[in-house]
Amino acid sequence: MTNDQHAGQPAHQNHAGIPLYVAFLVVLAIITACEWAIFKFRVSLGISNFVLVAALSVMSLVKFFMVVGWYMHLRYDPKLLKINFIFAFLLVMGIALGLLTLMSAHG
Amino acid sequence: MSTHLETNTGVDNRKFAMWTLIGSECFLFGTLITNYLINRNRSVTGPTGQEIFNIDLTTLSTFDLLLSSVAMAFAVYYCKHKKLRPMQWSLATVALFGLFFLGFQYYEFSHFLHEGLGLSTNVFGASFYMLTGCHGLHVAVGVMIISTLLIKSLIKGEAWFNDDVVEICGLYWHFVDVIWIIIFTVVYLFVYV
Repeated sequence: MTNDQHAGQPAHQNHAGIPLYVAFLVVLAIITACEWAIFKFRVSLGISNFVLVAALSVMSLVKFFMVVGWYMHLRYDPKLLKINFIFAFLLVMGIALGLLTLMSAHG
Repeated sequence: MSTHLETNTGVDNRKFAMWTLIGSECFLFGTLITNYLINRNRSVTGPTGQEIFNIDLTTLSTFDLLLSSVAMAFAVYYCKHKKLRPMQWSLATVALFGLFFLGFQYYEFSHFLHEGLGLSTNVFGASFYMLTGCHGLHVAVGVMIISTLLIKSLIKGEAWFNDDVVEICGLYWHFVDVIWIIIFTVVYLFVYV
């Protein structure tokens, strides 16, 4: 059995509830505020470009997976849907990184 | 509760279709983001992002979309639990925050045009407007979809509880939010990198 209905349970029983959604909103808002603060105070804090890109990328990815995993319920969805999305996302990332590397190598 | 036909994948076909659409949208936005990253520093004339971006305003619009996302999650939750009024309020909140976001974008674009950055000014402008404009178009479509759901539920009342449709529309809306999370970082916060 691949989904909750087949197992005889309503799908929403495994989904997150209101308190968790609010908690996630608070976390997402804090991360966004941190991103803004890092951007605003990067010069006074002496943050290098490498650290800036790494920190902001990690925070962005955390937000990305929080929304996809919980708000979009992919965490609770069947494997087929997870593969469908993750495969497309990784393929896009691979193509984008390949293109950027190629273009930067050619100036 | 709405029901859907049994499928050989065990997944509602409409939900599967929406995730497939989202996968293909990843390619669309992946292309536009890559195009922006390649071309953003190749302009021979200004203005550029470093001169005109307003990060405070963009952060505010990011908060706005995050709030709309949690309201959409509420709408799906209340629909599954057959709570009509809270669901309608949640959907109305999503549509309202979506409109706020479009207002932010209209203000930003107007400001940029006033500063001399048009679609054909330079390659930065072309790639920037293509990316953020395409995202804005998706937000506008999302607002129309959410508004349609809200109007249908207002007309039909308790007889209308279509949790599959609300969840599928929610997937689209959250994806629009996810794309903005990436655009906010890559386009706006990486502007000096």
